[in-house]
Amino acid sequence: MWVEKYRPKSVEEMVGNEESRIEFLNWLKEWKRGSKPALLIGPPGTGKTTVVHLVAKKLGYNMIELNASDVRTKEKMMQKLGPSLGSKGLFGEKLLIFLDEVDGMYERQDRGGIEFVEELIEKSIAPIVMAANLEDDKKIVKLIRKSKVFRFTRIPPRFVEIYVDNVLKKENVKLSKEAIRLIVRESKGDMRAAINTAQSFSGLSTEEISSTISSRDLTYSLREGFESFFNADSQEKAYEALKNCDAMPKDKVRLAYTSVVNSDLSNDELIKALEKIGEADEIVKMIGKTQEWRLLRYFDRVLAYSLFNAIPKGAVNYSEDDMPWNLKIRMWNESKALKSFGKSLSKFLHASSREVISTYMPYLLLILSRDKESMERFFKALGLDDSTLKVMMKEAERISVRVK
Amino acid sequence: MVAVGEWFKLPRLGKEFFVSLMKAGLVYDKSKGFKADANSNLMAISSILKRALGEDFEFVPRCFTCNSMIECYSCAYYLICDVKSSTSSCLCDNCISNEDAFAIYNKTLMKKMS
Repeated sequence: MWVEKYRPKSVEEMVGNEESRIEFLNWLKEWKRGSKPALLIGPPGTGKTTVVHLVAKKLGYNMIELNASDVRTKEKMMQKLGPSLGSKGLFGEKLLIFLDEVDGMYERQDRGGIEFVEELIEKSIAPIVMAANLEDDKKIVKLIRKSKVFRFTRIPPRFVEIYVDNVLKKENVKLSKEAIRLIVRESKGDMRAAINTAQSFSGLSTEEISSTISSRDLTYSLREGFESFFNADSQEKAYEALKNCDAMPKDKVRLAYTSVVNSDLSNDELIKALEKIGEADEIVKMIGKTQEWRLLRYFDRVLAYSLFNAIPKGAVNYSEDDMPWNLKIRMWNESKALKSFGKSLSKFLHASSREVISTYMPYLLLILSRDKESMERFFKALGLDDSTLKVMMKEAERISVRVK
Repeated sequence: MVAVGEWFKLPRLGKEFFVSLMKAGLVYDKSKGFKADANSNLMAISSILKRALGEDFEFVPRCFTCNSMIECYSCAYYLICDVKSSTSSCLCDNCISNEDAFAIYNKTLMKKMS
């Protein structure tokens, strides 16, 4: 497998995140007892774990590693790390403690783990390195404050391109520039995926590669996309689901909204989720206003990342209300005014406000709409405020148009 | 266009814009001016500055090997790339089209690491 053959063997052989790599190397070089621990933050597949391994190797550190597959309760961590906390290696070798995916340690099965990490930071005489995928997770803010943070971003596609090109040269495989670009686009910044794809496509023509890639393109319907989104295990998977969902942004906002309001979320959770949907809707609105369609590329990320973190897993299911969106908005906006109108008139008609709205109001408005001045006087006499007055005038207009 | 990581000057924008820029992670130094770094939210800063200045404001990456400014619009990866919203560097058209692009990249990296 090319991906194994060309796995970077030294930190210099990696591509992308150069600044963070250099800074991390210098941090470990200059580390002394009492230094802050290192926290590498960035999306999966950006080389955080690889860089820790390679820098440790370069500087001659032996590494004790705990990753997400280990159970990381306080007891288990104590068992594994305890002996190395207060002592140097048996033969004087340098030790480094690496805790991968610390943001996943807040799950129930890792109870007490994060408190242990905080203790570890205080006590350890060996350098501690942590890696996390999420930065905006409130739970790791504490760790961020106590650590020297190194940020990792997705490898820029142009760096993936030169790396793949170099692998192909070494393998003596010829692919056109366009074919390499198709492979890089398909891999979406994931180096392993790019090398695997390049290997599987070696020997194919650009046309064959292009048709294979387009037939592979995974697109979800709105329903599939949102079902995958609400059931995703990670923020990244949730983003992928939305990104591959073949629908207009305004439909995604509408569906996120109907699903959230039809769920059993608590009021606080509902408010938080709606706020996040509102943020994504702002982008759609901004695009509509400014026609800056390039903003569209941020839309899925904003909606996916913010909404995914705002709702508890499994609490929201796909739900599409069959009432037209515009009508629903109108009903909400105008219900206050209609209620106020119904209430003010109910005492004169000896009817409930609901009855006034459903039975009397259409006829009354139709009559009043024939003479705008009398209508205004009538509403004012009822003591309606300006916003209610405006809604009722509009409603009267609508009714008169419909009757005509 | 301003390169990420470089100091630049802005006219006086008023307290409200200044506070928003600071919240979005723009770095300010009285003598040097403003700078976006790894903690900056480039998308938010660009949008605030666009509103404040009334014209487009964009951060662009620099080429890792030759340090020239890169315009992203013509790039084949424009739609899938995060470089414009991150503080990462990239490779310019000249450097990427070089036959030995990877070797040159590696040489530059070694130089910066030493």
